[in-house]
Amino acid sequence: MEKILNFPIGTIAVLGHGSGDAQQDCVEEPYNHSNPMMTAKHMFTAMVSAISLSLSVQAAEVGKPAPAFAAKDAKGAEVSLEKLKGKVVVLEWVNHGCPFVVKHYASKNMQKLQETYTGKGVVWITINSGSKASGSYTDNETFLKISADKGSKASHLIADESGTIGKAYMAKTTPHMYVIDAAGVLVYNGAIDSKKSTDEADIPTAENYVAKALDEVLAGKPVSQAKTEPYGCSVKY
Amino acid sequence: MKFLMMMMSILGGWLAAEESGHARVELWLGKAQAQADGSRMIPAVLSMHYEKGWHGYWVNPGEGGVKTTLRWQLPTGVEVSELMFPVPHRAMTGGLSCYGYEGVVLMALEIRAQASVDLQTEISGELRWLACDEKSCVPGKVRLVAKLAESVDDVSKEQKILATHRSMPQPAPELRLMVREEKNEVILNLEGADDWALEGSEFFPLTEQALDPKQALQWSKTATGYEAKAIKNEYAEGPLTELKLLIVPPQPRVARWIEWKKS
Repeated sequence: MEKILNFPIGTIAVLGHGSGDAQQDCVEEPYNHSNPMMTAKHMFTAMVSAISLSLSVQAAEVGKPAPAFAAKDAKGAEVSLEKLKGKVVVLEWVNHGCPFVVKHYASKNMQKLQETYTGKGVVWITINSGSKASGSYTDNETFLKISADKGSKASHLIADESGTIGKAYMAKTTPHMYVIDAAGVLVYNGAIDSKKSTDEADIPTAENYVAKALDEVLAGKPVSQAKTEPYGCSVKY
Repeated sequence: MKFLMMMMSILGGWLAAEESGHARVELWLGKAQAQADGSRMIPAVLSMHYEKGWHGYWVNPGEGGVKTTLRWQLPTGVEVSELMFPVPHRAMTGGLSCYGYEGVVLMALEIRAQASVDLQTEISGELRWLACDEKSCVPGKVRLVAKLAESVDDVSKEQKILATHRSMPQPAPELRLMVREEKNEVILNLEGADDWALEGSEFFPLTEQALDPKQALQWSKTATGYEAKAIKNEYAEGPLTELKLLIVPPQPRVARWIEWKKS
């Protein structure tokens, strides 16, 4: 499925991956069209912006290369999916104000998953794609503090304010979980588990799809249930 | 998330309104109706009034939502039907397409007590729902407690209980639904609907993860009835084996449901 994405000017780049026809770049400074004193850098910026707005990107699809992205995490470290090749990667969409996310953090279910699988070499990236306008945005400092308070064991936190990564993956809900294998292929897209509720009491009897997918990937097996319907609050782009 | 647990008390024949999860809840019990076998049937209504700007969900919540559920703890000899939901509305939560309700929604249920059951017997249940607005979702939870004999004591409310029961969607046995799949499309054929204004009717899939909730069904006349093409729900696992649809004609707006099961 092809999706046309509008890339806002920011610090996150999403690169078309696998389709061979998609490219995206990022620019660092906004360009003011009314400013007659356009510099060469501004001209370049404007050109790149114009090009990037019209490019299409292969949407996230199980069995195909995961959309590449590069971003700075909440601590300022560069995170590039391309550079994580060779490692299994989990993407977790989060909004700590959402009762479905609260269910999995208050119960420590999410932290246990993070701890278990980062202990096995998995890179766990927690992403908040909430925009400032939606009220779900958290700046890096707040994101780090909330995550520390909750005992998150994620490898990286990314504040995706522009929604660029979220839209590239078509992340719908919080939580919405993705697993990418060591070759960079998306192998799981969906819910954290089988019980669509906000009730912590449902966790012990739910089938954890993410743990199942990770166990299978780490054992070199194909993921038996690669796509499920994610449940949770809508991502507030 | 903080859950509110509340015990509802009996006040003047109906259960006092309680609020949680951006909704006000009332349970109304009608007068017990004697049945031929000596048992009693008590019609009841669960009233939920969502705060302005907030909505709750239908039995098929669509994308992202959670259906409202009521789990009873019942003494021996007492049974309660599933909650019967009225016609929902399509709603959007963020970018997700959902089926649900705003404002006041009246759901019907039937309580059956065997002849041996004392109507002073108390029943209790736990109602859970999710209320959402454009920015957030909040779960609601209320504990309901009622004595079977404590029916509403005003005529208008008794009439409202009966009217709510009469307005619930009914089966349409005269209609025959057939379903087949072609790639990602689901082809629906409907026979026996000559007297229906299908083109102006609304359709809601009662079966979860069968049809794409974003798409409204468009019917066209065929030699044997009507046909519609639907997009299969992207999360459907394997070929569809059953499909239940709610049909809501424009006039009169009396909802009926039809069902297909793979033979």
